[in-house]
Amino acid sequence: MDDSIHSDLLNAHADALLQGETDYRERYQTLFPHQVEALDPLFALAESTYTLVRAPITMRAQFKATLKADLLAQAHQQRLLRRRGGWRWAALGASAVTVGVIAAAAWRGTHGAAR
Amino acid sequence: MSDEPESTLIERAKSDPDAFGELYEHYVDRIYNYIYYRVGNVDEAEELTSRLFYRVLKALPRYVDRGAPFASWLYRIAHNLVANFHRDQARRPSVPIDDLPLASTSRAAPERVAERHDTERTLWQAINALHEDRRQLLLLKFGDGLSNAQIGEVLGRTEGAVKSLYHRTLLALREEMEQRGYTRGADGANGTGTSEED
Repeated sequence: MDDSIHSDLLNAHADALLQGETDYRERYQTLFPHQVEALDPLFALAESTYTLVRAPITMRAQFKATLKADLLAQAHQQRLLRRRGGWRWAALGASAVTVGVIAAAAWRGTHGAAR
Repeated sequence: MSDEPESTLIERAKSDPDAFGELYEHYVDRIYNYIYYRVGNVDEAEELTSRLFYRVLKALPRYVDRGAPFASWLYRIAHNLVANFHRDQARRPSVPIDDLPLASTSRAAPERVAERHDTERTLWQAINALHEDRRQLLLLKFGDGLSNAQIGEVLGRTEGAVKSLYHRTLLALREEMEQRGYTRGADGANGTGTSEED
């Protein structure tokens, strides 16, 4: 029972941290005084972890720009290849239809003459 | 990102390089941060970020929106890339502590700053000593602000399972800190938390 309440309280505390709320403990202290007291070290640990892993990291601007340029070049190339691929299939389809029409005409010619 | 709904942008990005560029701009910092915290090295983080976006570019035309956020898909790819990276390196996924950023500012007294840096390094060591899923949960939750449901998508667990995992993670983290001589989380006299001095 306590485990489930503890889990709920810890998750609610994490949500409050992420939303920048600072009155979490006061709000829950009246509802779950014993649990909040017992969980205090874990709240503190969560807050320290939150502060630590939120420390900003700056990516090298040149890397970011170069990677974007390379990716866009690749994306353009992919698009071109897809279009070419599309035209190839279209040409192949058209050729198949033409061959079919010619074959049908030839067949008709042969069978027509035989009659 | 523009006012365009993300789902529309993703559909466009499947065939429009400019739309792909917009998606890249929107996510690259978050993904880089996530990878950096997992590998702790700029060169490796750049290499994996680069691999991730090439993989996304290739796979995007086959991407189907099944209701889960696009970010979860990206983090899942990042998760797999980092896991493969650590496997290839044939080592436990450990992050060089000295390379990771510390949160405390330098406005406090120098001895207080030094003390905090020590605590933060210890906290990084403790986070680093956690089981892979637990460490990832903390990074996704606090570093990237993902909800339990989104974290579940990345880790392949239910939302309820992530909720319990968070509880167990904090208990394990406290144990790791205690083994390193910290008896009350990472706050108090040895604290890393924010205070009036900051």
